[in-house]
Amino acid sequence: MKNKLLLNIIRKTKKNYKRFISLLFLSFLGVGFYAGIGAAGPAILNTVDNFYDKSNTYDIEIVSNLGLTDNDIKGIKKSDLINGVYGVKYTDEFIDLNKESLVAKIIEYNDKINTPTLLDGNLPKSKNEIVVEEKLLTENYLKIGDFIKIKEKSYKIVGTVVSPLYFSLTRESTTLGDGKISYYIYVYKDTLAQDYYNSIYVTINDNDLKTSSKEYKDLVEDAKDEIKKIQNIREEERYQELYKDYFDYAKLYNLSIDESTLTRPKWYIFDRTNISAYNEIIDASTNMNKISNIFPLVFFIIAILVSLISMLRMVEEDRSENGTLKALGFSNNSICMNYFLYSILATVIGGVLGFIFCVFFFPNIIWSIYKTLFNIPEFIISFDLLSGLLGLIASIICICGTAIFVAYKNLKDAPAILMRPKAPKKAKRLLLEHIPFIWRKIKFSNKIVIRNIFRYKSRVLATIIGIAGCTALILSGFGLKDSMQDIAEYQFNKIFKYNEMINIKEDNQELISKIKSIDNVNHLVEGNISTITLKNNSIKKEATMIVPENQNKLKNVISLIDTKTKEEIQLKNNEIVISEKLAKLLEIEKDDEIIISNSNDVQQKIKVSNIVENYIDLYVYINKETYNNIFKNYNTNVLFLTFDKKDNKKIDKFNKEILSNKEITNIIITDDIINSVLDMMDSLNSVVIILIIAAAILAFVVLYNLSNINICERQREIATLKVLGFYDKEVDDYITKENIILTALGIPIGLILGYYLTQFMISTCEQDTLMYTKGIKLLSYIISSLITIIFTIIINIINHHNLKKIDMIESLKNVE
Amino acid sequence: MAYLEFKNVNKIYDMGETKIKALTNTSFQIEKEELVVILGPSGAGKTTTLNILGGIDSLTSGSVIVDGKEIEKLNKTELIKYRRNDIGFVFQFYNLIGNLTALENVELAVQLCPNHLNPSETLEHVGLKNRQDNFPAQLSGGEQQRVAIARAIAKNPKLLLCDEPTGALDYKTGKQILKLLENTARKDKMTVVIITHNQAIAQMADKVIKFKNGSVEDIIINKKPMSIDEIEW
Repeated sequence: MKNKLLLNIIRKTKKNYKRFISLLFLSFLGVGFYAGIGAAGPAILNTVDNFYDKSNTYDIEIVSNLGLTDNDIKGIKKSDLINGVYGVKYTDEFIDLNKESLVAKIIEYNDKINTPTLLDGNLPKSKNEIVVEEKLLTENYLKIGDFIKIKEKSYKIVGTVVSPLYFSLTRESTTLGDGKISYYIYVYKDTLAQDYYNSIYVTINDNDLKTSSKEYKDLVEDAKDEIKKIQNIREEERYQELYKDYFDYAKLYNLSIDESTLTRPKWYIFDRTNISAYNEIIDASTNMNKISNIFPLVFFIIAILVSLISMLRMVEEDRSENGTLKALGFSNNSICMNYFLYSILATVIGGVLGFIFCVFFFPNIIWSIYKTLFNIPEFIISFDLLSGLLGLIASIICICGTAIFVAYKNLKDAPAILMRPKAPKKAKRLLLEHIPFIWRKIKFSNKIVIRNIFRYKSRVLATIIGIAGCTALILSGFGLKDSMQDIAEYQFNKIFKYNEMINIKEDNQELISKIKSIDNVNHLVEGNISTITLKNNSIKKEATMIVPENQNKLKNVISLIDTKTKEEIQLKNNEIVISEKLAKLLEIEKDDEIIISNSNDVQQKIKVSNIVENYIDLYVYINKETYNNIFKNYNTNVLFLTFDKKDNKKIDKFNKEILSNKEITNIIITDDIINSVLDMMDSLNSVVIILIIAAAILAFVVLYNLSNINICERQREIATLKVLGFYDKEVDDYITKENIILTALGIPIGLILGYYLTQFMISTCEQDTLMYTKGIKLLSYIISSLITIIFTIIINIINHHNLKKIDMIESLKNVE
Repeated sequence: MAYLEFKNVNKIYDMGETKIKALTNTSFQIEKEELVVILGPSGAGKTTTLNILGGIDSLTSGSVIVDGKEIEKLNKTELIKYRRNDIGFVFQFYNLIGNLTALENVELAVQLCPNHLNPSETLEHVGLKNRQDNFPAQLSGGEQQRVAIARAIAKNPKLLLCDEPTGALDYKTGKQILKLLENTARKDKMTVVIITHNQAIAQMADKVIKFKNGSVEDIIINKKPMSIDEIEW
């Protein structure tokens, strides 16, 4: 008996395959998107975790102002917590590349700790072989087998590697050159001359804990505490070691020692958060998780809502049939079972397919974008079955649950009642009808539309929510795009107006006046650039400090625009100007005081005179007087220039001319930066486009589904209109006008929601060094609305065909 | 030539594997202002005939001429126009729009036709003066059917087609509805075609067309049709 019921439901599925497919598709989108976007964050985390495991990356780093020795290594005893202790030597050096002289970090290769992954070529096998990062080759047109000079000595490049310490674009600062490390290079062991280690790296027994998990962090803290126990002893011993000869000498001749003149060793104990690339990728993973909390959830809710309405409709449609089945003696349970099977089939097939597809698709797409920022060779997709299952279970509960609930509720009545048509829903007069001077002016056909809207409240509400939600998702996609897109343009047109930034070795007036005299140079502003640390209570941030030689000239190359007044400001004596994002990160406002310090540990409390607009990187500005007061001895190490004409030939000629000069360490061409920023934006854009496409697909499915339900619900009514002699267009209007009104209501709500969704997403996923503009362009509002409108039009066209197909005779034959 | 001519009409429903002959060589004529009853058991082809007359179904072969118009030759738009201007339909299950009041249901129909009657007066005419602002759900079956009739006649059609108009109503209410249709034919001079399987009703008609197995079995002309008030069944 049950088999025949099953047959009935299979036939029903076949007959109304559109409903089945749309249910399936909604489940696919809802579960897939939820799991797919949700898998991206964990995948990124897994990727770095796997990378770090394979390259034996340290858990704790110890550095000392006076270097570390084998005795220090011996001092840190292995224990249950501590697994390995390794000393590593490295140094910062100028390297000669073509015409440029840049600073590189030279590290001794070690296969036990922080082992770089070989990408191409071989590892160094002798003291004149090195491996470098890929960027060094591509940016300088070098290849494996070429030689480069480090400190006048030539080394052969034998391979390319990725270091677990420097796998992003960010490099740490140095005291050499312009203060920036451009590349890292690995040399063969024992190549470096110094007799001490720069860092001691400790690995802990982490039992395969995932990096940055709470358990991992706790374990690291425990290990740090263990190390701290011997820190003082080792610092004292090192002190005695270093000055042993000195003390012996004093003792011998009975001289008194002024110990305050001796530098005491000081240990600094760090963990992985000292690696900026690591912080960046952990941030990226966290941000992805944040996005995946909100975006797919909206998606999921809409999908569920619409499927729910679909099922509701189906059960109601079958009312009299179910009455008959009941009269024949079928139990409520066996009838409900059909709806359960139907809905669970659609939900599970759609959900599982969605999960499988999206859990690969989204993390891969998103990684393909992050890959341009993080150079990690192997991407590991994490299968978080739990989140997939969670989505699936949620959609099963919601959709199948409603199906059963509605079915039981409908079957409660006696078969005789069920077989009779349901008493028509009582139509009510609207409030509007009691305002005759308005109601009378409305065209008759429009009155019907208005009443219909108020009659089917649940479907209408679902449609508005659906349209609004999808519009919001589409807009937030565009909004994200807008907020990122303009930052390059803002930064380099509005703030940084210079065409080139030239780093020079030292105050060299001869060089400066020579450059000034070169044809095509318009403005030349001298300055000092360095990296400083800013501290507000416990928050510490590094930023680039620019000090103009003549602060009145600064505005020719850099505009300092106050974020509040939008006016150009002047630097004040003994006060500091800081960029907007930096102020936000430090949680300070105008007129607050912060502590700044340079690499020589000169510290100074200083008042923030203004906060200025800035979109890329973190900057602070002080004038020359302030610099001399705090850090002493201003010297020009950077020149900002603008050209008269942006003639590429002329500029190329200019660059060649000045690069031959040994005093110039680096040239940064603004256009190159713009291009590289734009490249990065492009990759982020593609994430956003995925979001937009996904939202658009959802919008379409939602609209299609709801309008299909609308037509099914009113088939009989429409047939009656046809018999009365309504033209096709008039019949269309009857349904279409309603869709148009609902779209018109949904879009503005969606735009408002989209605005807040965008703000929320930006505030959660912005990186430290970027300041998104938060402005959504008018065009984006228009395009988002247009996309929804176009969908409404397409749906209306589809409706037109479906309405045409409604058979007058069939529909009127008997009561449903 | 007759006002309405049904000539050698065949209707075959093509159900894919099987073909069902609904009408075979069916012919009859109806004169203007005649009250016609089509009689026959279910499956005899009554409704198909009415649907073809009303322009909501097509015929397979033959011809149908209404007031000089060849229905089978009309294209889709012309057919809609025909339904719109020339035909009033009354169904067994009323088919009122639940969301519109009685008056609005009538207005819905008349907004289409140029020569329509006043909706409010028409409702008054069918005895629903006081129920104009009620929604269908608030009306009894008989009242709903009256609204449906009002909706049909307010269009001022050439032909009023009624498919089992009393099928869902009790005896007394059914009789009232038939009285209304009788008046529409006799007093308002409208051509009315009523489908029924009730033999007794046939006596009220000017012409009775009997259907059997998809074709006309007999056509009886009543010289002296009885008023519905005199008929008991």
